[in-house]
Parts: sequence; structure tokens; C-alpha cells
Amino acid sequence: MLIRELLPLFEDVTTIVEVSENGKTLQEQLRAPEEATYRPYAPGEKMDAGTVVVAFVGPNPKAHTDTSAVAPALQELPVGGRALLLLGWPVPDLPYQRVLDELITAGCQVLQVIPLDHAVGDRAHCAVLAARVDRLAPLRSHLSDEPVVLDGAAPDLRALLRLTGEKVFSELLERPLRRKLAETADRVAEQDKRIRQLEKEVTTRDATIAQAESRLTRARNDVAKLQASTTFRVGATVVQGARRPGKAIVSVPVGLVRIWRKRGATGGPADQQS
Amino acid sequence: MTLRLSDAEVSKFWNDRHIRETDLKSGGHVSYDEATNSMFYLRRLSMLMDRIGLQNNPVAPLYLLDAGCGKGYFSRELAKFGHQVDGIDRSEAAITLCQELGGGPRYQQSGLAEWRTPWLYDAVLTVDVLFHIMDDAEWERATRNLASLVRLGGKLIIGDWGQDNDHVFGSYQICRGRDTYLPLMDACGMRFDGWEPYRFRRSPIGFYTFTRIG
Repeated sequence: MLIRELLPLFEDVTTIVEVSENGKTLQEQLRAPEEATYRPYAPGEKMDAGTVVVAFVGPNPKAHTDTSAVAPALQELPVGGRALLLLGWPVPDLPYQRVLDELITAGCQVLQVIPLDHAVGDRAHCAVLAARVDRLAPLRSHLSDEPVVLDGAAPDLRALLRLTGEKVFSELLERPLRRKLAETADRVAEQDKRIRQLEKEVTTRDATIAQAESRLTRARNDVAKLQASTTFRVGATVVQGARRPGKAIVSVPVGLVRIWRKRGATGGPADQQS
Repeated sequence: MTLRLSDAEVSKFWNDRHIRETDLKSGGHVSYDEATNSMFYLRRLSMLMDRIGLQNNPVAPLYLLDAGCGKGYFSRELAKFGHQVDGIDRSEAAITLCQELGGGPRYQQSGLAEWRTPWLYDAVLTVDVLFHIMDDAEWERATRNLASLVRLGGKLIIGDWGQDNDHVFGSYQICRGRDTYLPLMDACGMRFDGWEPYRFRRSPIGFYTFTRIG
């Protein structure tokens, strides 16, 4: 969901009260309706049931409001008043207990927590829809994108039994899962460490190979130059003649004449030196 | 009286059909050609989107069960939207093909009444599957099991016809109506949200939507 899609989930909004340094950081992002008054939070200033308290709560003091700063505004909300809290923590690492503490202390029911699109860095990762209540408001499905209803029938016993039952069983299942996640995270960290070590070793080996290749190239060049030198070729012709003395009387002079004719053709320092 | 196929015969019928027929026809309407079935699938997919909701989030994906997934069309399409999808089907041939095609969902060969998971689903959907369970007791076991897999506030979406009564079509289809579904679902703690026809080429079938409220 997008941030601008959140406020329309609350109907009959007359006043939006923002808790932040300047009191209007969120106004544009939320696309607050023109018919509603938008004002910063001022302690003691009267709020009614048409009020929505908004805040961007999170871990970075430069970008977010601290949870404790929102608490007074929540506590001043009258019954029927609502709260829209954007949370700046990534969902998998959400320390929701602080926010939940303040909401419960203020008598607010969490109606829905919605993950938000484009959640990176200090941006809002999810949004909490809550309302000040004096009795349990209708349970809202996490799949719902319909406007919030507060005055419907309270959840019946069967719903509450299901709710508490699901909580108890899911908590039991969470325990082994939490352990598995921790073990997996440890394994991944260990593997990352090993990968970094291996990468270092590969880099060292690459450097050694590069040096060896460079030496090999130099050696091959030296051999090529040596083989191209007149000294080597004269020597080779004489040695060949010595191996086959019967043919040497012809082959050695012919070979030497060939070398003489091609003198200077191969160039290079070896030739010049010889 | 029409001869009804037994549960085992129905399973064999579907496995053979998944082997024999083309991708969409095997799980879709056997009288339609591939192009018409393609429209039929898209129509139902868009109706599923209306029911499951148009929200998705890669960090907190919805957890969905496609019960009787056949060759996995809906599973794959829903996974493309970022949802985490389990697909189950009794047909070995269909599940093997699904696993070969991949595309994100996790597939298991299982009947609807037998599927177990420690995690409850945000939505369970069974598209035109339950009316192929000929045995009433097996149908009830399957329907109850699917309902039990839905978390509080989650949805159960069932493709079947919207008449009050039940009706047998041929040897391998029993459409169950509201008089059968609504009391059973109420007993399972599911609220009836409505039934909407597919409105596709005179099909009498549509989606029942139930939400778990207790």
C-alpha cells in the first residue's frame, strides 16, 4: 500500500494532528483531505472523535519521531479518535513492543498493520491503524482495504476464542522457528566469513599466477630471441652437420649461406649482439 | 440413476486427463479450446484478485493455498503478484509438471482432506475442484479441512454453483449449493460474504467467499 492510500481508510476525519518537530512533515505524503484541518500537536489542545493523530515513528532521530513523544497525543485522543503511525523500522526487525506499549497505555486498539511499498532506508516500512476505544472494536481483517468501522458489533466469544487460540499455537510454533532462524543466520554469517576468506585466497593466488605468467612470458621471449639469434642458428647448423658428417660437406655451407642471406631479417638485439 | 465414480476413480480420471490434455484444457473446461480456456482462467484470476485483495508486499507476502492446483496456473499467477503460494493436488502427473515449471509456488501431492501445515493461510482457494469430489463424506472432510487452514480474518474461496440445492452432472461432478455450504461453513466459524457467478459463457459456477470470524 502507498502512504497516500492510508488516510482514506479513516472516514469522517475533521482534524489531523501531526506529532513531529514542525508539525507538517507528513502533510504532503499523506495527501490530507482539504476539508480537514491539519495542525501540529500542541499539548492540551482539544481533540474530538473526528481527530486522527499521525506520526512517523522510528529509530533515526533525524528522520523519525521517538515513540515516547507520541504517547501524550495518543492519551489525549477521545474515544472514537484514531491514530495513524508510520513506522520507520524494516518489518523483519520491527521492535513493535514500544509502539504497542504506548497504544495500550492510551487505550487504543490496533486495528491493522499494513506493510508499505517503496520501503527503503529511513522511509516508512509499515503503518499502524489504531483507534481509542472503550470497548473492543470489530476485528478488522488484515486483508481489508475498506474504510475502518469502529461502531459495529464487538467480536463475539467465538472470535475471541479463535484469536487467543491462534495466538497460543502460533507462539508455540514461533519458538522452534525462531531457533531455526537464529541457527540459519549464524550459518549464513559463518559462510559469509568463509567466502570472504576464500575470496582473499583467490585474490592472492591470482596475483601469484599473474607473476608466474609474467615470468613465463619473459622467459619465452628470451628463448625466442635466443633461437632467432645468428649465433644460435650458426651453432645449430654446425651441430646438425656434426651429427651427419656425410651430408655436412653440403648442408653446413648451404645453411651458413642461408643464414648470411637472411642476416638482419629477424632483427632484435640477439642478432645485433651476435 | 447416474453411476458415480468412486474417489479412486476420480483421482485416476484427473491424473489421466492431466497427462492427456493441454495445459489449460486439462484443468479448465474440456469443451473449450485453449484460447477460450485462457480467457476463462484470466476471468477467474481477476475474480480471485478481487477477493484476496490488491495489496502485496515482498517483505510480508500473503500466504495462500491453491487446493487442487492442477497444473498450477493460479498458483503461478498468484506467486507472480508476490504472494507465497502452496499448491496441492492429488494428481502426480500435474504436480510433477508444476515442479518442472517452477515459478515460485511450492507444490505437494496431496488430497484436499489430507493437507496439513503448521502455518495458517491468509487465503485458501479451491477453484472448481470440490464439485469433482463425488463422495459426500469425503467432500465434507475436504471442505472442513480447507476451512481449518484459514487464519482469523482470512478467506476461503470456493468455486461451485450458487443454487440452493445440490445437483449431479454426469458421473464425475456434483455441484453443491448454498444449503450445503452455508451451514457447514457457519459451523466452521466462517462468515458467508457472498457468491458471485463467473459470468463466463453461461457457466453456472461462481465463487463462494467466506471469511473466518471465529
